[in-house]
Amino acid sequence: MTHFAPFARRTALAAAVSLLVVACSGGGDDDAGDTTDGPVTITFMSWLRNSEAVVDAFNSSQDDIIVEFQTTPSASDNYTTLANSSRAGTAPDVATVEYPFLPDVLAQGLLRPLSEDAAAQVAEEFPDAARNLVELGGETWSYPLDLAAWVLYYRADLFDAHGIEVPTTWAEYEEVARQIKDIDPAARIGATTSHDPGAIASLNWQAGARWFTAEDDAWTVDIDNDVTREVAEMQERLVAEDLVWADEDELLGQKQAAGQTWTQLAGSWNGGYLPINYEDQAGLWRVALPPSFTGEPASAGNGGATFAVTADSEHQQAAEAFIAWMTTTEEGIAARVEGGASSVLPANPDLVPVAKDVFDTSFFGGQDIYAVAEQAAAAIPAEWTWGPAQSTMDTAFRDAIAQVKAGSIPLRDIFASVQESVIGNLTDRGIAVD
Amino acid sequence: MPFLAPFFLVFGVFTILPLGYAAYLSLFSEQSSGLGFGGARTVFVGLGNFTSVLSDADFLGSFGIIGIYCLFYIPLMIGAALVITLLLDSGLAVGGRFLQLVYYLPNVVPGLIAAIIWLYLYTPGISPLVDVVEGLSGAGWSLASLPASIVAVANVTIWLHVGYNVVIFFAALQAIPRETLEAARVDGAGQVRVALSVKLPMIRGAIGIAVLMTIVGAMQLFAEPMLLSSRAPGIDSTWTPNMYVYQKAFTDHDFGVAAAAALVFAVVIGAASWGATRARRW
Repeated sequence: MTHFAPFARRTALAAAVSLLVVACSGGGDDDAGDTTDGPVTITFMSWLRNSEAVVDAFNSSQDDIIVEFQTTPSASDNYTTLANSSRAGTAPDVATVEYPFLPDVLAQGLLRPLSEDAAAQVAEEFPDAARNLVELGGETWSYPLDLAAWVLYYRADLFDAHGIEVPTTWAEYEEVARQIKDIDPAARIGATTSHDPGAIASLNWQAGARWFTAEDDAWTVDIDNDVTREVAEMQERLVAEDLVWADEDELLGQKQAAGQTWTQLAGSWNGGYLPINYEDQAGLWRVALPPSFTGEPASAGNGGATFAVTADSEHQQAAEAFIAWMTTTEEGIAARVEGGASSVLPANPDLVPVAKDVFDTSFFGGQDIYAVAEQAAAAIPAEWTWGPAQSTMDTAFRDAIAQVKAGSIPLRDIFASVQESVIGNLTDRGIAVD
Repeated sequence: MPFLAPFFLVFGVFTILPLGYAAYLSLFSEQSSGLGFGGARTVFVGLGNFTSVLSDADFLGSFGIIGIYCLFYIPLMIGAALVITLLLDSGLAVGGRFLQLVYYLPNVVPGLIAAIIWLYLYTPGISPLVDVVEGLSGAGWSLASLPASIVAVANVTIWLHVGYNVVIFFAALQAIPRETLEAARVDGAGQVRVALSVKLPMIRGAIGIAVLMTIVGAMQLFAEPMLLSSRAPGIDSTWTPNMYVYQKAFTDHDFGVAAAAALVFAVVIGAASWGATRARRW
């Protein structure tokens, strides 16, 4: 029966999509070529899980647009490939751009703003937390896919067996970390957040830091600030007292597989990765909001993808119709979540129930992980903005973190050099900095 | 000389043309304005990119590092290849042909794959090698210092390429007339004496070529340190000149500066190769 359900659904929605496409092409005003006879072929580049299945579902749902899928190996290759293919004149029509990289990609002129209709749809259907990150400089640049709220995955069986409460504040986290180490010297509460630029950013976002502010045609860059230093001191203490793992990724994976890791902080997308990487721990994991600094629920963004039309695309309408299908229709979300390979929390709140229905939560003991993710998403501070030098910042962080690992400098002192690299890069590129 | 046409065609399309394009790129800069959301436009900056590259401490520093690396790597590489070849040729080693293959085998592994293999071998907690080194030295494993990083990278590159030089030297040794070697033996020269006084001087030409190739290859060091940087804190993102060029082009989105740096680097490599060829004539 499982084979029939998607098929039936697919045929049923084919009509709906054609309607959508017709509706879009009716309202279009700015590009030629889409209204000619025969189907339009567009290309779509992504590394996101299940993207190929999404493309197949879209292609078989309608006859007006044929999407050709190009895969990129990982997020880190995606932006280089996008920039290079654009230079070579072979850019895909639809690109996948994570929130943190959107301003950087824009500053390279790789995207074109969404049409008025599409922008209106984004404004209408998506929450502020997502819109703030895709509406920049008076234009809307992409359709958000997921919110990627930062959450705490934890081993409920281990916490229960020892009668320990899951920490809700960072102070409790430190305390629980000590308890866990006492109970089992070969186990730790989790891995340090100080080796991954993404986790460092999420922690600072949660703590209320604002690294980038765009005001009056100039950026304010404030990576080296009091909040960040204070947060860094906590991270340093956890490592210095050996309360968290500070190993390389491969070893962290081994330890987690061996049950020596009680919690993992990651974005809501991780719900699709845990069941695949730690299959034999099915039923043992649960999800909660991340520990906060104040005791009030607080989360942050951690990754999160959006889809945009590239500057070189000659099929803006078709591209937008495909993107809208992926991010704003039940079928698009269902195709992505199908089979449990992806656990995206749709940024579009109306579609959360769809994802919830399709995603198999048995790995999480049937817990409503989407409810937790929604709660976390609602607790993301909305003021955060990403800057237009994301790849430079990322590399500067990696170089500096290597020094921290080597013990040459304390974590709290790396932010000054990262800020210097970022401001240097922005100035070199002619971007205004206050 | 029409028979040279294919060479000049390929040389022109794949060497001169890209160099010309790099020279063209090096005169421009991509400039945004305001918050940057409007994209970038291309501006002519003359030699501005060259002055900014030549005054960049990271770029100059990368030459220092590659210089130290070459001083360490080249003698070690050539020395190791010579010792292995002479041992194989002396007949002291059992199964010479088999060993020759064994030494050559890593050479067919792409540098990237080799770096990934060694990445694991350099990871504490996973690698048996790290345990052995820690046990032998009594100190903790760390690739944080410059010497440690250089040794870590040179270890991979020597493992990769030593077999290539062994094959070149071995072929050169085969070309030595048998009667010369016999004459040396009749005169009472032992294996070591023959190796040092007859074989080595007679394959000087091959050694010169190998040194030249090794210099050019060593200076272009890129894939190995790029990957190993995640295990060796001593290696940052602009460790070698090629890494600097990559960083400027693909991380900082500054193709003008990257092209300028690449051209300066090409001139330096050209000068080093010329120097090596001159040295061979002495």
